[in-house]
Amino acid sequence: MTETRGDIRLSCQSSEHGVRALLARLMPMLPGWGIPDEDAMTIELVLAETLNNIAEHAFPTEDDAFIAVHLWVVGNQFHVKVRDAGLPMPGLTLPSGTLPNPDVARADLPEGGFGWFLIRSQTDALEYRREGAGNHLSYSIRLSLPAQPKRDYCRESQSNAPI
Amino acid sequence: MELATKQSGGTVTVTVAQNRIDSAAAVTFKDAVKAAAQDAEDRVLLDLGAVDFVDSSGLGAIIAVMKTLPNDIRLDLASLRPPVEKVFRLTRMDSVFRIYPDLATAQADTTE
Repeated sequence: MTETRGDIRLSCQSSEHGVRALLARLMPMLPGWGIPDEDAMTIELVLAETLNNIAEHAFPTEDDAFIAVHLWVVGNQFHVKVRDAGLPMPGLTLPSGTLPNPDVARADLPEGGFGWFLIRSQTDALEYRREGAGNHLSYSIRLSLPAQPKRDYCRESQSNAPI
Repeated sequence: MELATKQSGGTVTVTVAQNRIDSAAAVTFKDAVKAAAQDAEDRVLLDLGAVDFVDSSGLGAIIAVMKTLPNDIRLDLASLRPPVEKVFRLTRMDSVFRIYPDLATAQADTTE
């Protein structure tokens, strides 16, 4: 049985500043869960994209509603569940997240449409459902190494200490 | 948005002095860089060495800045930290900008 680690529930207000505050709270915890920097930056990006999307589209006129996040790690999977009571996803499905074409003239370059591409490209088991008056979004992010609690296998001792 | 601007020849170097260009910062970033870049004659060099987070809104803001420049003025990027470089690579926007490892390399490159 693989141990669950870093099980935490956080919530933030449904605004860009709320999302920023949640990430500022979460990110310093990840090294303690044994998550490498490379994976932590993916987690921060995907959480920012999903939460800002909710703040902007599920709560277009409300900045003081709440978005609830549940995060935990099992083996090499970082799991995310997000709940909110905002507007439903249009068509009750997630956007396809097709990458906008970068090979176009400067004036035609896309300024948006990257968010769902980034989310889809970095997650597994991405699921959305509308239940009652709430949105439920879940996904996982594969860690490059199974997260390990930090252990001091070797530590420095004072050079003049008696052996 | 904290920026430091330096003009040398036709190049305006804009150094971003804050660590996030995220959804909350994107609009002020765009307006501040646009204003700072006004005197550029052939090149704007955006120094992102202090920035350790860019999301899709921040990326969109950087692209929006480039789109407001006349076609003969380039927007080049320097000193991308790994999380920022990753966003450009994943979205293939690294093919749209000239990206330099540091400011010195960027300034030494005088190719058109």
